[in-house]
Amino acid sequence: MPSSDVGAEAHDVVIVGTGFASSFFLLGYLERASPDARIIVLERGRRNDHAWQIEHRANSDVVAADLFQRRGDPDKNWNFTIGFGGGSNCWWGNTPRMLPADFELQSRFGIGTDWPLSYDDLAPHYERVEREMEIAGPADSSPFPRRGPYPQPPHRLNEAERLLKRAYPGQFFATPTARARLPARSRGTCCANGVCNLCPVDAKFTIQNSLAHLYEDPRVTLLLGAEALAVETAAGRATGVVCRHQDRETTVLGDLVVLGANALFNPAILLRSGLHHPLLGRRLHEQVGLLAEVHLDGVDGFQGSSSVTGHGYMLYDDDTRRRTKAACLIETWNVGTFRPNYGRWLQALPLRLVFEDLPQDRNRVELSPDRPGRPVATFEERSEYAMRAVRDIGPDLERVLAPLPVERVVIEAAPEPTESHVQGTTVMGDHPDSSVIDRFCIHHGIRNLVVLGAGAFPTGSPANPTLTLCALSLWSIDHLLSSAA
Amino acid sequence: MKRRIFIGSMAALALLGTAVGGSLATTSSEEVIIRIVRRRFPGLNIADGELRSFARDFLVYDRTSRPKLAALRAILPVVESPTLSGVVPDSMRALFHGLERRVVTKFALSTDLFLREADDPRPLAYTGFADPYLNGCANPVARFDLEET
Repeated sequence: MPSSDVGAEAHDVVIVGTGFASSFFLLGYLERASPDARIIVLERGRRNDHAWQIEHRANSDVVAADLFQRRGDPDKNWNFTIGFGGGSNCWWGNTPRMLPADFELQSRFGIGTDWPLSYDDLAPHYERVEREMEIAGPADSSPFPRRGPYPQPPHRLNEAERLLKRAYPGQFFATPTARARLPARSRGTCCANGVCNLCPVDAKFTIQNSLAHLYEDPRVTLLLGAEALAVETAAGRATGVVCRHQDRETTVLGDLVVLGANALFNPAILLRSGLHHPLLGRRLHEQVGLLAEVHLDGVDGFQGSSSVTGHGYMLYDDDTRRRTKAACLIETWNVGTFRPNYGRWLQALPLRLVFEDLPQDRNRVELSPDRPGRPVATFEERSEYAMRAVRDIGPDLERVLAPLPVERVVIEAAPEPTESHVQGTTVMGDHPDSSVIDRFCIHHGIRNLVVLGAGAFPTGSPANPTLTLCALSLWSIDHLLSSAA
Repeated sequence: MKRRIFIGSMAALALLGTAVGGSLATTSSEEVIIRIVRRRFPGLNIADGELRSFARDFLVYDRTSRPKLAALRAILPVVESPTLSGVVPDSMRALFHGLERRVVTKFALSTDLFLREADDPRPLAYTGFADPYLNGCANPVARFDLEET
């Protein structure tokens, strides 16, 4: 569609991005929108389908690192996908909910900030997302309050995980995941290949395989190769989005503007729009990941039916711990390299230890004066709250792994460069002085501007953020449509 | 380790490797893989041709290991030597260990090792390189039975 045609029309909604946040917002909107609603979606990248991705062994033809600049810690990186479906192309599909306590770090532990909404506020939206994604999850119990079973049964645990489950019935669970255990509506079953960032059999939920129909709705116009540059405003209201498409800048008009680019680019768009705020772009953070491996004596691992099959809450669901150091979600894995010891190849349990990190103002996204199109992500260092937990992990693991026949635990010396999440840069809150958006993801200053995604997170729990940011999108659109009605 | 020191150490180890193991040209990348498999699977009963096929396919399909192989070819005799391996810096030892584990894993998954009894006398069969982008499902260890969860 030529840029000139796009610029001439007025739309009910202009949405930036086609990733998780935007797509679940669109899902909620289309269910209640009128038959003559007009929605336009601006996607910066191309639509590289699964076959293309397999052929090229890549999620996108866009190199994410080319789109921003990194400063600060040279070992800290950020990972995301630009293209139709956004992060759903490269994610691994782990979908735990946050714990109720994760929303109340300040009031419970005197640490960080409370969210302006509670677990109970999000619970019905968590359920909806889990149904849409056909999550496979534990049938017996859960670390967080839930109603009813998951849509699919859990993946098979390996033998070491079964021992942990027996030892910690209320703290060790099968991982809730969007990697199918049974054939799903539009995808086959996971076969534990361990390359989930680009699944060879398309077994994980992606926007492409499960929500693409939204973009084929006659009310929706999808414009690919359209980079959102700024939000245009007049008299305190958003009037549209300035975008670059086919080498031309044009303004796409809309009554409601929704930003669903990720937490690196949403703040950049707002900064270019002149919508400054002391916290805009600040509090850039994500979880801290640390790899470890348990060498077992006489017990085999690796027999689970998916890449990650266990979630241990022994170092997470612990109120006393969290007063002084970060919670840690213990991921137990079924894929990786075997031990090189003859006959004992499978006697290992790979771990990924995921720690919450506290957001800090000095970690930030800014515009570069000479290259405003390439935001600068500056990450100085992780919080002492997180690093104290990382330093203590050896004795902590020794204690919680005691039910296993452990020969030794090998822990990597340094955290992973990224957990492939980006959070915190358009923080939500009830007070305009201390937040960019309100509890419904609506910009405090521009009341027809919605800013979605994990940029809203006031704190980041060890739980993978995807389920929560999708639930936030449904929470947001539910509020908007209810208010309008 | 600083780059210059690393390269210098590699050069010194390569010379030592030549002294121990003979000409650099004799240790091909294919040979490195075969030697790793033979060392980590002592008494391995597999046809030479099948092992060589695995090694060749590993070189073709395992792209992440190529830089490590190129760096480690020359120092392999030193790493393997019981008396000299102590001079290998920790960083190179870690590099080699990582490659070893990857070769062991791919070899185990690319044969019928996990599909037979431990005392099966028949030669191991190379069933094709375990690459999920080639085979679709390339994990013979995983189990998918639903009744045990």
